[in-house]
Amino acid sequence: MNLPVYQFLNLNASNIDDLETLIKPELNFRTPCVINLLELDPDLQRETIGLIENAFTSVNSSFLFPYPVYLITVHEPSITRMPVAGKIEHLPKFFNQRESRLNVKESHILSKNRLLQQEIRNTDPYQNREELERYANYHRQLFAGEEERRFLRELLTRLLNGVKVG
Amino acid sequence: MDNKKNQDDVRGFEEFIDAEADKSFMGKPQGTKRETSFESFTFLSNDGERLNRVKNLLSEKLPFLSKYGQGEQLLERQKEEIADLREKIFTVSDQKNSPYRRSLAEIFDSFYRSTDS
Repeated sequence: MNLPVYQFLNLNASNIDDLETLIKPELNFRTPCVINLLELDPDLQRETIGLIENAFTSVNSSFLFPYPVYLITVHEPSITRMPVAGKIEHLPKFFNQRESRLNVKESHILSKNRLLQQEIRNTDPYQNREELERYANYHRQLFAGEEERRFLRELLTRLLNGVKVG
Repeated sequence: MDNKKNQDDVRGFEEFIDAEADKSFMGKPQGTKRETSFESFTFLSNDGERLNRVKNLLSEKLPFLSKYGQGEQLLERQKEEIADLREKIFTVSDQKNSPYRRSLAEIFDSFYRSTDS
C-alpha cells in the first residue's frame, strides 16, 4: 500500500494521442494526480484541458474527490473547473511527502482511509458539484450584500450622530 | 567484483547521490531524523481527517442543504434590510437641517453668496 502522494502524468506530443487510455476515472481514487501540460503548445493545452474535463464528466466521475486532479498549464484557472497551477511548485504542499515503507500502525490508518475513499467515490459527483456551486454562489452574494449593508449602517450612524451634534 | 568496481567509481560522491535521490520538487521537509520518523503517521492521520470531512460534506451537509437551503431566504432578508437602511438615509438627509443639506448649503454659499451684504 502506498501513501497518497502526487502521481505525475506528463503529457507531450508522443503520448497525447493516448489521452483516452491515460485519463481513467480511477486516476484520483487513491492518490492526487498532477497532469503536466507544459510540454504542449498553449493552444493544444487549452484543447487538452477541455478533453480531460470531458473525460471525467462523461463517466460521471469527480476530478475533485476523493483526491484532486491538478493541471499544470500556462492558462488562467478561469478556462476550466479543474484545479489549475502555473508551476509544480505552486501545488499544495500537503500531498508532497516522501514515500516510505509503512509500519503496522500506518498501514492500519491507510486501510481505514481506503474505506473513506470508497465512501466518497460512491456519492454522486454531478449533483454534489451543482449543490456546491449553488452554495458558493449564495455565499458570494451574501458577502457582497453584507459589505453594502455595513457601509449603509455606518453612514446612517454617522448622519444621525451629525444631526444630534448639530 | 562488479559491485566493488561501482563502489570505487562513486567514491567521494555518496553524499551528493543521496541528496539527489531524496530531492523532492518542493525540497526536503525540515527536521531531524527522529522528528521525521512520525511524518507518514501524521500525514496519514491528517489525510484521514480530511477524507472524513469531505465525506461528511458530500453525504450529510450537501443533501441537507439541497432540501433545507436558506440561501434565498437570507438574501431576501438582506435585501429588505438594505432597502430599509437606504430609505432611512434618504429620510435623514432630506430633513431641513440635515448635515447633508447643510454641507450642500456651505458649498453653494461659498461660491454664489453675494459679498455686498
